[in-house]
Amino acid sequence: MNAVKASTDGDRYSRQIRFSGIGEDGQRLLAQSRVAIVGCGALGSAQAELLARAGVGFLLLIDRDYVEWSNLQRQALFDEKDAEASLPKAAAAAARLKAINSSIEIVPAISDLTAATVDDLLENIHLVMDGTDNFETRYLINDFALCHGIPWIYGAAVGSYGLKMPVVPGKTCCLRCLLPEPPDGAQETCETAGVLGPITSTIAALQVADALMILTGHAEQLSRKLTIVDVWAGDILQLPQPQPRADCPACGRREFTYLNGKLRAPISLCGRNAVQIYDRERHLDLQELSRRLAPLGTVKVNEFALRAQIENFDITVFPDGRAILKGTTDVGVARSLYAKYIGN
Amino acid sequence: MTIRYFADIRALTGRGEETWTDAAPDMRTLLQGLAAQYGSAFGKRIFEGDQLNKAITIFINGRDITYLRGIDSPLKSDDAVAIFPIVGGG
Repeated sequence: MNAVKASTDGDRYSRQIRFSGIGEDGQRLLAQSRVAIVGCGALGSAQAELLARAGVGFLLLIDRDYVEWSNLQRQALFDEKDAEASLPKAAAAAARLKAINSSIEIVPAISDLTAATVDDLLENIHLVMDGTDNFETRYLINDFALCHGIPWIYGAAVGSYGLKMPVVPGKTCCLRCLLPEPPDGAQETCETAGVLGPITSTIAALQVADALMILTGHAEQLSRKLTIVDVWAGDILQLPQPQPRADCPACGRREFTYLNGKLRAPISLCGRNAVQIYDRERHLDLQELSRRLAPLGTVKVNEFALRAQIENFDITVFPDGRAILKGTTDVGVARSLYAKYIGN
Repeated sequence: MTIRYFADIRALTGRGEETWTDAAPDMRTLLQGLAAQYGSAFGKRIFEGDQLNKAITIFINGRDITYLRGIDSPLKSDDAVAIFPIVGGG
């Protein structure tokens, strides 16, 4: 279906077109837009549904994970059949979205976004939505977006708390202005701290509102705020987005460390059904990590290493951040596990 | 000054907001006072050695302290402070 027909498709978009910020012109711009959603978890699946219903003409869904039963509580595009079949999230999401809006193009990419794949995957994309679960991928998106002048919308959530911030190259600060380096130590993750559906839906909706403004030509009117929400505490705070920093390694000095793939690569340990992850040196408090992981499996810890058996994997973590994930030779699976249980 | 806490920091202090009346000429002094009040778990979350934990962001009156003088940013008694983590989940 061509873009013109998509944008005037019967009654589908009539209520959106009547909104003064969109109108017929805005709807046409949406139909011509190409958006990548990186991660099809709670944030990404909510973003994808809103963008599909809004009539964004091309959606690229990037995720290499598979649907699990524990996703169904908050990942709105998946159902029990998907979990039973362990479908790839990108594929399951695409199928669901095609049933919602058959007039747009939806492409699943069952893939990791890495320094090696980012140029191919994000070619000809107009805007990137953050649906990821780790800082490494966010920094990669940040680098790519700055390098190519493409906006992206940072969003993150854990527990009942989340944040959102638009990054418009040349106009706003970037993620590394706010957080120059990834946090040290183990981080709270949805697996260790839990996560509520309302916060992921809220943050995703705020991200999509920003996206719609940018895609319909209203980037100048974008509210340049860092938005903080806690749905359990009933707290919302908006802080002025900091100015771009001249000394920011990404948008200031344009040292695209993550895009250039200068981090250590994971190593598949030959013959051991295991992958070593050691992107960068970081200090981990193994005792604190053991307390977080204890509810999830069997954990043993001493000053040298932590060993956990979770799901069907054996995870060994060292104080310098190195981890060996046994039970897979797939680097992407190992990265996912690392992000899930240790946080990055 | 008023201090707002978010996410797990709120859990460590047991409150979302408070009015701090102890003298605190700069952020370091304030954070040390809060650590003394809320215990070692709070201190470990906020500090990395004698510096601010990289995962913690603090704004004073709507300005990120890394744009001011970082953990040595001066404070006034009527300032509004927000302490929150940048998180990575999704």
